[in-house]
Amino acid sequence: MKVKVLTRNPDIYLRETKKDIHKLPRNYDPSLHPFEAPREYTKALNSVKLERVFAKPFIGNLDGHRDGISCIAKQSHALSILASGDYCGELRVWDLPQRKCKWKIQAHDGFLRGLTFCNDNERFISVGQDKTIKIWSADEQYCKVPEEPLSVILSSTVITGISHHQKEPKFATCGDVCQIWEESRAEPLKVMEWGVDSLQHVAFNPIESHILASCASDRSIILYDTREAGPIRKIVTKMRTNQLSWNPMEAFIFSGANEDYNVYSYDTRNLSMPVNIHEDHVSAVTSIDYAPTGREFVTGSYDKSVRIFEVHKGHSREIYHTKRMQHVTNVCWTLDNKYIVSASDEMNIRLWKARASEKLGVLRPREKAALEYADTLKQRFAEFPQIKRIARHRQVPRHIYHEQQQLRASKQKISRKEANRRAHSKPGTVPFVPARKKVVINEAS
Amino acid sequence: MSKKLKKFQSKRENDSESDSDVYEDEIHNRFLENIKQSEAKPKITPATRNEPASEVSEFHLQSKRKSDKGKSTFRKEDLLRPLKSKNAKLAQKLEAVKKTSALPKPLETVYEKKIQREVGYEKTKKQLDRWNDVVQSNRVADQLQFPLKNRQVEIYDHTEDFLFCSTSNPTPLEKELSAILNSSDVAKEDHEKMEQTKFRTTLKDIISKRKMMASVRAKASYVVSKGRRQNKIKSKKYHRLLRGEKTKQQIKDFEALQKTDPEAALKQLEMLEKSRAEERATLRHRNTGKWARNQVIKAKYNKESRVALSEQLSKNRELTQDLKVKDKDSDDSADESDVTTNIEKVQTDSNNPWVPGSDDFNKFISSYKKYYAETAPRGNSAESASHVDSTESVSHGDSVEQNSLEQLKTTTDEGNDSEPGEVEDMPQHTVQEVENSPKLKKSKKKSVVRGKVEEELKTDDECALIKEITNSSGSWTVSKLPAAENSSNVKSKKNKKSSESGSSSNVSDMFESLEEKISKKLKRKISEISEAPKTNNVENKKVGKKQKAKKKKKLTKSGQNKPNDDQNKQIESDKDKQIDDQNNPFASRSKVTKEPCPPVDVIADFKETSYRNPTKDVTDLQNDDEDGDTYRQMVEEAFAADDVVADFEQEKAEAVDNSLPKIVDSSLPGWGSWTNSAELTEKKTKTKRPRLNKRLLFKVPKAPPRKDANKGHVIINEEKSNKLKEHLVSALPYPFTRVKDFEASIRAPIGRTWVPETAHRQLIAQPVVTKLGSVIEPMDEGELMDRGEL
Repeated sequence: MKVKVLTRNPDIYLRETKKDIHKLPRNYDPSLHPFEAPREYTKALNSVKLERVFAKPFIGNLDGHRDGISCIAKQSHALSILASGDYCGELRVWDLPQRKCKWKIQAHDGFLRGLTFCNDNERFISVGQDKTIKIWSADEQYCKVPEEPLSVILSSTVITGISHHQKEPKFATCGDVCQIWEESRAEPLKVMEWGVDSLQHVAFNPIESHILASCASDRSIILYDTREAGPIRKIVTKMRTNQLSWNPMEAFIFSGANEDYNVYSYDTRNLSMPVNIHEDHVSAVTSIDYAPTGREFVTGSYDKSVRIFEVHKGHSREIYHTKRMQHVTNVCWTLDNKYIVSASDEMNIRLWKARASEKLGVLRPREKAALEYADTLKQRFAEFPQIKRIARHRQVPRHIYHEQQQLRASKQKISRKEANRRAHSKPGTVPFVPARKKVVINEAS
Repeated sequence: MSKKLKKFQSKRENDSESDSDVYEDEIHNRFLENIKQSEAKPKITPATRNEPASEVSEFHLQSKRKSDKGKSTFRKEDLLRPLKSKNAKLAQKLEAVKKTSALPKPLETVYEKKIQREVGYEKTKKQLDRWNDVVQSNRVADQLQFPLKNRQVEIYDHTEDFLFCSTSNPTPLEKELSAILNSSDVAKEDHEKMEQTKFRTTLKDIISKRKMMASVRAKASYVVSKGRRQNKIKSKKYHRLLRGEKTKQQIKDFEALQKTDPEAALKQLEMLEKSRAEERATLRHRNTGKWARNQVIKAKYNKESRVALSEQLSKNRELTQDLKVKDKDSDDSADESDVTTNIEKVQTDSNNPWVPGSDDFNKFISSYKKYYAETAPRGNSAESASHVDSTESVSHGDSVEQNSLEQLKTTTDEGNDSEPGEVEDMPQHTVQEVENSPKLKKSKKKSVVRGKVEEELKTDDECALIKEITNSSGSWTVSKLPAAENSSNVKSKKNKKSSESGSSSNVSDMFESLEEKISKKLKRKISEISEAPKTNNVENKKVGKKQKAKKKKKLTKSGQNKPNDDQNKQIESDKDKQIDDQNNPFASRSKVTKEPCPPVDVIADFKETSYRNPTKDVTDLQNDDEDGDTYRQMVEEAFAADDVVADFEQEKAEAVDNSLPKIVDSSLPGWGSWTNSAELTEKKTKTKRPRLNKRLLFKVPKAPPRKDANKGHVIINEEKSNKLKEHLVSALPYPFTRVKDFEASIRAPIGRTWVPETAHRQLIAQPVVTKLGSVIEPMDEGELMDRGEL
């Protein structure tokens, strides 16, 4: 049998040395490339498929806590250390790159409520159910277990949350009242109250660092000016805000994780309605943290999932879940914009990639260029049905899936009912009210 | 009774009071005094602060200054009294103050706090508004790089560790040394200075920078506009003067440079040489420029322009003089023999379009040729066309040259066919040749002109002239014309003369060699063609009937009646074409060779200085490359067994069949065929085809003719594809408002296959760029513009 083979002379296409770079002559005349758009579409389709193939966001977990984790804290100007506290008052310091526990200590009697690193990264502060504020030293690269805290401040009431100032050695706590402390003093510098008996979370604005926001159990969010005025504004929403986080790149934007399954982003200058509603969770959103780029944020929810939202979009771009992850109590986005840490009720801290299919480590220039090209193509063809379908497809746990369906049905029911009422009543009596205007019930000054 | 009782009771009470009052008061007072005395020190002391606290309890406050009687320990008047005597004005003011009414009662705390909050919120809003611009610009930015580069410039003070900048871990000694050095007064002062100076960009800086840039740009534009204005000046005198000035200045400069810096002068000389070489490499100083073409048009009437043209050409000659690159002629005899053998090997298959013997291949090649023949005279030798069309004198020269070529051709013909009779009626023959050549589509007009020329030549004693010119390598110069001979163009004449005398014999030698080569080629071609069984009809179609007649006439004249007329014609036409192809490049090149040189040089000249003639390329395509032939042979071998055409036809037939609308039979089994048992048995025994009820047949209307009905070489699938539909966008995506825009955006490619690398990089730039392992700090005050210093 005769076998026909097309052969090529290897001298033509092989390089003699590694540094021989062939210049590929190209003719860019569009009449010579009649199928450029279909070819790019195929490329986009392939890359979006590959993206889903490589989407393996889970990196690892940090286990060791003997009770559910109540709070975690990241360093303010460094990457490698993470501190976490649990419901039985144990405090652990983790080395993130090694994924190991550096040391642990029984810090408080019962329920460690809040943790924060100082702005110089040399100390960190914990607050607990036992009405104490403890300042811990982080000397010697966190290698030595401190026998006792640097200082202990006794408070008259239970403190439920803590947040450190971005630049100065000050921190704010919340509980019955909101208090501003100086690290070296045992008495608060300032006490700010506005008729609420319990605040559960407090957060300093990282840019305009004299502004402070806290959320209260009476479904309100209160803004404070720490310099002179004290409390300046309060809004009451339909349901309670569990946590809030300031956008680190936009001084006036903050987002609150709400009990009504949604996240609301507010503009501090116009609090009468949120600038955006981010919905997708199927249970109360318990925690939120902004990416350092200010373009995205991550939320943890009682529905046992972590979601990533883009700031300007109403729905999440990503959902992370594992079989064993229970109610997520805390999330944080690392300062290099690469990873997400989530802490949950079942005693584990999990480490995720911020972009599920991203390749970790250093990329070669050509590889990088190829990935960027693929990303751009995905963007360009994002609206094409096949690409959209593949990019959006996520396998979610059964409970979330069913809950989503139920929620959808209930929403449809409400909207249908409203439409019916509108149809059968005098025109103008049932006005259209946008969803955003329904969020804030009362804005008080 | 009751009244009495009451009275009595009250009286008794009064009595007891009055009695006991004095007594009890005394006791009480005594008791109090006793207590007072017993309390040497008060048990409850006023609160003292030992811890710095921000909050002070109001219950601990008391005014100690007030005495028990409600009088204060000091009075304002006491303090003011000495003032009255000393400072009268102040006293008056105080009096005025006294007269003003009291301040209103302060607001209740609730309302006061509310107002405070309101004011505080407004202030905060204003504070936050400062970030608006930065946030907005970041939101709309195409690309953001994190960590953000602050506008504030940080200056790294390396004086602290200048000693051990080489090593990351300094030794203790080094540390001590640097500490000592840093503790010096000078170092401290420096350090303080550095700290005090803030390098933050201000609005003022940016505005001043912008102004500076604007002024620079404006100045540049002034210069440009001035240059434009100067360029527009038409005065020749002005330009001459300008040029003169420039050259003078240059010479002056050069002389000065020679004196001061001979090396630089040498360099400049080299530069001059180089520029000359570059000019030689370009096609300047030829007759292709705009000016030259205008001169050509004028040349008929104007002597001066003729002179100018000849000067120009002579300059070109001067410039192109010393090119001495030798190049071998590509057509070697050995090659030829190889090729011919190869071609002989080739088995012609009429069905395979890529076999050279087949119709398709011939068509393809001929169409290629035709195309290039058309483009060649248009594109490259526009000047020659203009000569022929417009000016007699110039076309004279051109036609003369052409004639020489034709003559050459005829000689080759003689060599091949050994037809002696043709030499005699040469002019006539040349005209025919010209007409036959596919190159000259507009040949009618031209041939008319040429015919005129020829007639003129006939009348004169031009045959000799032609020969003479062919000997002198056919250079077309105006000086050769009889009219121009009389003129004062001495220079060119001299040139010509010298050339004629110098190397006419050499040139003729060269020509002979060329002829030989051409004849060889022709032979080969003819053999190739004669082997091909089918005649090429396309060629014959092109040649008009008139021409055919002429040819026949010619043949009869020559007295050679060949038996196979058709084949002969074919060969003839092909031959003509070949000859043309061979000659055209030569013709165009011959224009370039103006200076008579030794033969090798001249050949080199042909190669180097001539502009590429596409007809040459066509011939390359067709025959002369050995590689091409072997490749073709390889392809043929590879696909020898594949009957591509038949396969395709079958496929197309199937496709057509499938696309034809089918007749729908809507009859149901059993229905309409009510029968008796006999028939049923009959049916069982015979496998009879069921009768079709015509009423139940649904005839589909005839489909419109297929798009590929008249296109033998393609199958056009006209069915809609559902698979494709899945991939199509159904709604217009968000930012677009028109479908056209969206389609355009999709159509513009971004891959490096379709756009240049730099553009590709810009197109794929990511919206957010982060640096691996670097902390992204929150935004900083440094991002804000400092507006205060405006």
